[in-house]
Amino acid sequence: MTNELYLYISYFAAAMGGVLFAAATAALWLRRSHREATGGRASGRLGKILRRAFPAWLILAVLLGFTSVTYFDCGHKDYASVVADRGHLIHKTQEQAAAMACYLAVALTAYGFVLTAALIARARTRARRS
Amino acid sequence: MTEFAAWSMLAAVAGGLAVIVALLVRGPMRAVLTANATLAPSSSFYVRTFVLVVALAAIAAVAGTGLPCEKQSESTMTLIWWAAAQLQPLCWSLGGFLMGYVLLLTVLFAALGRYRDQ
Repeated sequence: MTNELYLYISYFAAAMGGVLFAAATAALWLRRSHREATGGRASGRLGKILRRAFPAWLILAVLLGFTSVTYFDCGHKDYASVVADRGHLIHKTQEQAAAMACYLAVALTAYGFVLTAALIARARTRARRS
Repeated sequence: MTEFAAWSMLAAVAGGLAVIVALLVRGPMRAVLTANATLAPSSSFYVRTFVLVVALAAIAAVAGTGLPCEKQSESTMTLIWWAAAQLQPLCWSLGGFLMGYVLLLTVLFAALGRYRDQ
Protein backbone atom coordinates (compact mmCIF):
# COMPACT_ATOMS: atom_id res chain seq x y z
CA MET A 1 0.00 0.00 0.00
CA THR A 2 1.41 3.40 -0.96
CA ASN A 3 1.67 6.13 1.64
CA GLU A 4 -0.88 8.25 -0.20
CA LEU A 5 -3.42 5.43 -0.28
CA TYR A 6 -2.73 4.80 3.41
CA LEU A 7 -3.38 8.49 4.10
CA TYR A 8 -6.73 8.43 2.28
CA ILE A 9 -7.91 5.25 3.96
CA SER A 10 -6.74 6.12 7.49
CA TYR A 11 -8.08 9.69 7.28
CA PHE A 12 -11.61 8.79 6.20
CA ALA A 13 -11.74 5.60 8.28
CA ALA A 14 -10.81 7.58 11.41
CA ALA A 15 -13.49 10.19 10.70
CA MET A 16 -16.13 7.57 9.93
CA GLY A 17 -15.18 5.46 12.96
CA GLY A 18 -15.41 8.45 15.28
CA VAL A 19 -18.79 9.56 13.95
CA LEU A 20 -20.17 6.02 14.13
CA PHE A 21 -18.93 5.63 17.69
CA ALA A 22 -20.57 8.91 18.74
CA ALA A 23 -23.82 7.94 17.00
CA ALA A 24 -23.78 4.49 18.62
CA THR A 25 -23.15 6.07 22.00
CA ALA A 26 -26.20 8.30 21.63
CA ALA A 27 -28.46 5.78 19.89
CA LEU A 28 -27.56 2.54 21.67
CA TRP A 29 -25.64 2.98 24.90
CA LEU A 30 -27.36 6.11 26.28
CA ARG A 31 -30.67 6.30 24.44
CA ARG A 32 -32.97 4.74 26.99
CA SER A 33 -31.37 6.35 30.02
CA HIS A 34 -31.39 9.74 28.30
CA ARG A 35 -35.06 9.33 27.46
CA GLU A 36 -35.80 8.47 31.10
CA ALA A 37 -33.90 11.55 32.28
CA THR A 38 -35.55 13.96 29.86
CA GLY A 39 -38.98 12.36 29.66
CA GLY A 40 -42.14 13.12 31.60
CA ARG A 41 -44.80 15.76 31.27
CA ALA A 42 -42.95 18.56 33.01
CA SER A 43 -40.02 18.30 30.61
CA GLY A 44 -42.27 18.92 27.59
CA ARG A 45 -40.59 20.76 24.76
CA LEU A 46 -37.33 21.19 26.60
CA GLY A 47 -37.00 17.41 26.88
CA LYS A 48 -37.71 17.05 23.20
CA ILE A 49 -35.05 19.62 22.31
CA LEU A 50 -32.52 17.84 24.51
CA ARG A 51 -33.29 14.47 22.94
CA ARG A 52 -32.84 15.90 19.45
CA ALA A 53 -29.71 17.87 20.31
CA PHE A 54 -27.86 15.13 22.18
CA PRO A 55 -26.73 12.96 19.22
CA ALA A 56 -25.82 16.04 17.18
CA TRP A 57 -23.81 17.41 20.10
CA LEU A 58 -21.79 14.19 20.42
CA ILE A 59 -21.15 13.91 16.67
CA LEU A 60 -20.06 17.55 16.49
CA ALA A 61 -17.70 17.02 19.42
CA VAL A 62 -16.09 14.03 17.69
CA LEU A 63 -15.71 15.98 14.45
CA LEU A 64 -14.20 18.87 16.39
CA GLY A 65 -11.65 16.48 17.88
CA PHE A 66 -10.93 14.99 14.47
CA THR A 67 -10.38 18.35 12.80
CA SER A 68 -8.23 19.65 15.66
CA VAL A 69 -5.29 17.53 14.41
CA THR A 70 -3.15 18.98 11.65
CA TYR A 71 -0.72 17.01 9.49
CA PHE A 72 1.62 19.95 9.04
CA ASP A 73 4.35 20.77 11.55
CA CYS A 74 7.96 22.05 11.56
CA GLY A 75 9.34 18.93 9.88
CA HIS A 76 6.44 18.52 7.45
CA LYS A 77 5.71 21.83 5.80
CA ASP A 78 4.16 20.64 2.53
CA TYR A 79 1.99 17.79 1.26
CA ALA A 80 4.91 15.87 -0.29
CA SER A 81 6.85 15.74 2.98
CA VAL A 82 3.71 14.64 4.86
CA VAL A 83 2.99 11.79 2.45
CA ALA A 84 6.63 10.67 2.35
CA ASP A 85 6.71 9.89 6.08
CA ARG A 86 4.60 6.79 6.95
CA GLY A 87 5.49 7.06 10.64
CA HIS A 88 4.13 10.59 10.70
CA LEU A 89 0.87 9.45 9.08
CA ILE A 90 0.45 6.65 11.64
CA HIS A 91 1.18 9.03 14.50
CA LYS A 92 -1.37 11.54 13.22
CA THR A 93 -4.06 8.86 12.95
CA GLN A 94 -3.35 7.89 16.56
CA GLU A 95 -3.52 11.55 17.53
CA GLN A 96 -6.90 11.88 15.80
CA ALA A 97 -8.28 8.86 17.67
CA ALA A 98 -7.03 10.26 20.98
CA ALA A 99 -8.44 13.73 20.24
CA MET A 100 -11.85 12.32 19.26
CA ALA A 101 -12.03 10.24 22.46
CA CYS A 102 -10.99 13.19 24.58
CA TYR A 103 -13.43 15.64 22.96
CA LEU A 104 -16.24 13.11 23.30
CA ALA A 105 -15.51 12.72 27.01
CA VAL A 106 -15.50 16.51 27.47
CA ALA A 107 -18.76 16.79 25.49
CA LEU A 108 -20.45 14.16 27.68
CA THR A 109 -19.33 15.91 30.86
CA ALA A 110 -20.47 19.29 29.55
CA TYR A 111 -23.79 17.80 28.55
CA GLY A 112 -24.17 16.52 32.12
CA PHE A 113 -24.21 20.14 33.28
CA VAL A 114 -26.79 21.08 30.63
CA LEU A 115 -28.97 18.19 31.73
CA THR A 116 -28.58 19.27 35.35
CA ALA A 117 -29.90 22.72 34.45
CA ALA A 118 -32.83 21.10 32.62
CA LEU A 119 -33.61 18.86 35.61
CA ILE A 120 -33.59 21.86 37.95
CA ALA A 121 -35.93 23.74 35.60
CA ARG A 122 -38.24 20.72 35.46
CA ALA A 123 -38.32 20.35 39.26
CA ARG A 124 -39.16 24.05 39.67
CA THR A 125 -41.95 23.81 37.13
CA ARG A 126 -43.38 20.81 38.95
CA ALA A 127 -43.13 22.56 42.33
CA ARG A 128 -44.95 25.61 40.96
CA ARG A 129 -47.74 23.47 39.54
CA SER A 130 -48.37 21.50 42.73
CA MET B 1 8.67 -7.31 21.09
CA THR B 2 9.91 -5.50 24.21
CA GLU B 3 8.47 -2.24 22.91
CA PHE B 4 5.11 -3.86 22.27
CA ALA B 5 5.17 -5.47 25.73
CA ALA B 6 5.80 -2.03 27.26
CA TRP B 7 2.93 -0.53 25.29
CA SER B 8 0.65 -3.42 26.30
CA MET B 9 1.62 -2.91 29.93
CA LEU B 10 0.79 0.77 29.59
CA ALA B 11 -2.61 -0.08 28.08
CA ALA B 12 -3.29 -2.58 30.89
CA VAL B 13 -2.35 -0.04 33.60
CA ALA B 14 -4.49 2.67 31.95
CA GLY B 15 -7.45 0.30 31.67
CA GLY B 16 -6.95 -0.88 35.25
CA LEU B 17 -6.87 2.69 36.57
CA ALA B 18 -10.06 3.52 34.67
CA VAL B 19 -11.82 0.41 36.00
CA ILE B 20 -10.75 1.15 39.59
CA VAL B 21 -11.99 4.76 39.39
CA ALA B 22 -15.28 3.68 37.80
CA LEU B 23 -15.87 0.93 40.39
CA LEU B 24 -15.02 3.22 43.30
CA VAL B 25 -17.39 5.99 42.24
CA ARG B 26 -20.25 4.13 40.54
CA GLY B 27 -21.92 2.73 43.67
CA PRO B 28 -21.98 5.94 45.76
CA MET B 29 -22.97 7.90 42.65
CA ARG B 30 -26.00 5.67 42.10
CA ALA B 31 -26.92 5.96 45.80
CA VAL B 32 -26.84 9.78 45.63
CA LEU B 33 -28.82 9.85 42.42
CA THR B 34 -31.60 7.62 43.75
CA ALA B 35 -32.11 9.73 46.89
CA ASN B 36 -35.53 10.91 45.74
CA ALA B 37 -38.00 10.62 42.86
CA THR B 38 -36.82 13.88 41.28
CA LEU B 39 -33.26 12.63 40.85
CA ALA B 40 -33.96 8.95 40.23
CA PRO B 41 -34.91 9.07 36.50
CA SER B 42 -31.55 10.61 35.64
CA SER B 43 -29.42 8.22 37.71
CA SER B 44 -28.88 5.69 34.94
CA PHE B 45 -27.82 8.38 32.45
CA TYR B 46 -25.26 9.98 34.78
CA VAL B 47 -23.77 6.65 35.86
CA ARG B 48 -23.48 5.43 32.27
CA THR B 49 -21.93 8.66 31.02
CA PHE B 50 -19.46 8.61 33.90
CA VAL B 51 -18.32 5.07 33.06
CA LEU B 52 -18.06 6.04 29.39
CA VAL B 53 -16.10 9.22 30.14
CA VAL B 54 -13.60 7.33 32.30
CA ALA B 55 -13.20 4.69 29.58
CA LEU B 56 -12.73 7.39 26.91
CA ALA B 57 -10.08 9.11 29.01
CA ALA B 58 -8.14 5.83 29.17
CA ILE B 59 -8.64 5.19 25.45
CA ALA B 60 -7.45 8.72 24.61
CA ALA B 61 -4.29 8.25 26.67
CA VAL B 62 -3.46 4.88 25.11
CA ALA B 63 -4.51 5.68 21.53
CA GLY B 64 -2.35 8.79 21.38
CA THR B 65 0.74 6.85 22.42
CA GLY B 66 2.97 5.08 19.91
CA LEU B 67 5.56 2.41 20.67
CA PRO B 68 8.68 3.62 22.49
CA CYS B 69 11.63 4.49 20.26
CA GLU B 70 15.01 2.66 20.35
CA LYS B 71 16.60 4.97 22.91
CA GLN B 72 13.61 4.61 25.22
CA SER B 73 13.86 0.83 25.14
CA GLU B 74 17.55 0.60 26.07
CA SER B 75 16.79 -1.03 29.41
CA THR B 76 13.81 -2.05 31.55
CA MET B 77 14.10 1.11 33.61
CA THR B 78 13.96 3.42 30.57
CA LEU B 79 10.85 1.55 29.44
CA ILE B 80 9.28 2.07 32.88
CA TRP B 81 10.16 5.79 32.67
CA TRP B 82 8.56 5.91 29.23
CA ALA B 83 5.38 4.24 30.55
CA ALA B 84 5.27 6.59 33.57
CA ALA B 85 5.61 9.62 31.28
CA GLN B 86 2.73 8.34 29.15
CA LEU B 87 0.56 7.81 32.24
CA GLN B 88 0.86 11.45 33.27
CA PRO B 89 -1.79 12.79 30.84
CA LEU B 90 -4.10 9.92 31.84
CA CYS B 91 -3.82 10.88 35.51
CA TRP B 92 -4.56 14.50 34.61
CA SER B 93 -7.60 13.65 32.51
CA LEU B 94 -8.96 11.05 34.96
CA GLY B 95 -8.56 13.50 37.83
CA GLY B 96 -10.12 16.31 35.83
CA PHE B 97 -13.14 14.29 34.77
CA LEU B 98 -13.56 12.90 38.28
CA MET B 99 -13.61 16.41 39.71
CA GLY B 100 -16.00 17.49 36.97
CA TYR B 101 -18.44 14.76 37.90
CA VAL B 102 -18.07 15.44 41.63
CA LEU B 103 -18.88 19.09 40.93
CA LEU B 104 -21.80 18.04 38.74
CA LEU B 105 -23.20 15.75 41.44
CA THR B 106 -22.74 18.43 44.09
CA VAL B 107 -24.71 20.96 42.03
CA LEU B 108 -27.36 18.39 41.21
CA PHE B 109 -27.78 17.23 44.78
CA ALA B 110 -27.70 20.75 46.20
CA ALA B 111 -30.48 21.79 43.83
CA LEU B 112 -32.65 18.67 43.74
CA GLY B 113 -31.71 16.64 46.81
CA ARG B 114 -33.97 18.74 49.06
CA TYR B 115 -37.17 17.60 47.34
CA ARG B 116 -39.02 15.03 49.43
CA ASP B 117 -41.14 12.26 47.92
CA GLN B 118 -44.87 12.53 48.63
